[in-house]
Amino acid sequence: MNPVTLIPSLSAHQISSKTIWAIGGGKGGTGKSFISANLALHLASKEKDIVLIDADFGGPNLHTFLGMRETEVDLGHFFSNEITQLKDTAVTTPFEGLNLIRGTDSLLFTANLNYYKKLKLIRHIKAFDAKRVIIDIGTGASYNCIDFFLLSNPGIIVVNPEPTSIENAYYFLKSCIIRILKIYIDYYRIEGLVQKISTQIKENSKSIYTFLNEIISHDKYYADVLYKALKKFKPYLVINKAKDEKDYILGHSITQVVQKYLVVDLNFLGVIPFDEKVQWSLNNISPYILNYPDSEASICIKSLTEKMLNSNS
Amino acid sequence: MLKIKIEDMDHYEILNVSRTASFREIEKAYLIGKAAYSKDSLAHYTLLKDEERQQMLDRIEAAFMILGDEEKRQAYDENTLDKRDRYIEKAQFRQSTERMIFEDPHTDHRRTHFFRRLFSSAKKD
Repeated sequence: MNPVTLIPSLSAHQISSKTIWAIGGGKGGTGKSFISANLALHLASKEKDIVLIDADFGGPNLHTFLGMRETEVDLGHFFSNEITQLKDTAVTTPFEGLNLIRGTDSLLFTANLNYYKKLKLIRHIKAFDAKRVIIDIGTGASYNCIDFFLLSNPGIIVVNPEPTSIENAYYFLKSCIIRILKIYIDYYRIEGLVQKISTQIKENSKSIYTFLNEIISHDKYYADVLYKALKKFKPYLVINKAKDEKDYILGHSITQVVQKYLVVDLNFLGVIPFDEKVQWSLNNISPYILNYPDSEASICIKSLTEKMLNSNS
Repeated sequence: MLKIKIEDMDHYEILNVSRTASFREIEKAYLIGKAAYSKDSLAHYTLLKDEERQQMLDRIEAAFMILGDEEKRQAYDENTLDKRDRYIEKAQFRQSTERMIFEDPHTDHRRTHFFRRLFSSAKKD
């Protein structure tokens, strides 16, 4: 299968006007669902036909950030074939123009989503008739997370300014890179490299950099192919729960290091400052951006959304 | 051209700025680079060994020493980069002409064409 079919974000041209944004980043509790929900709410206030998908199969709670509790249908109905079309699992939210596909907490489908069900979901998301689709990706860097992230154009990596979060974000990013390289290597049947890449996965530090350098010294043609594939992958970075200017500089620093050592054009989208009121909103099960539209964090979320819209236009 | 080896990067690439960057842009890139590879920065956490981090920091300092000074920058552009660019151009040209010789239409292709014609006329006969 052509790599572009498997990784639509690597396609130079977008097939339709629909955009898919995915929010991921590896570590739990960084604010992926918070950003997904509030970004979608802001988008819905500007344009209609927004769909929010909770792809956190391990513990979906995106609905809570929207102030919703139960929904009649969720992804579980889709996975169990009770509902055949993904669009029929989308429920209207109290907010005009915003529909939600709630994640499932059924033990049958949690975390260990099987390959065919995942492909089915990917196929339906790609065919979904909506202007913008936003996917909230679960914690971790398994293929179930990575493949949904690579489906987007672009994806956003959410990081907190703390070592564990950065460590997991790098792991997440490396997993994306390995996934892209593997798909290309399989497609071009570069047999010898398969073994090499397996070894590189085991080594943690700067493996992509040394890996590509090794290929260059062996085979310039395929090195060029793989390099170009990686260069088409252009995720965004958001520093959430930022406390001061240092965290803003950290965002720029991370993109510099990633561009040099992971060969990926990671773009720094901006920061969202830490705000205790986020917790208050969550405890009251009501959307933050609507409760505090003029807070610094809300203004930053709006600004990030505008940047994303501009980058897509 | 595919170039990812950090050792091969020039001062502009090290600072991640274009060759037409203003002093202000160079200075900003230098400060970000310095922050990124400083010992207490989280940006390289789990990604670089301390030795690699220090090497990059040294290269950033060296790059700014040259690009941050107008005269030194001009000399570097003329004496180092221009020469290197011409060398790369020559190397690429040499590679492309080598391919041309390999695919020379007056040798292999013409002969192939001759045999094709010969066989097709033989079939007709």
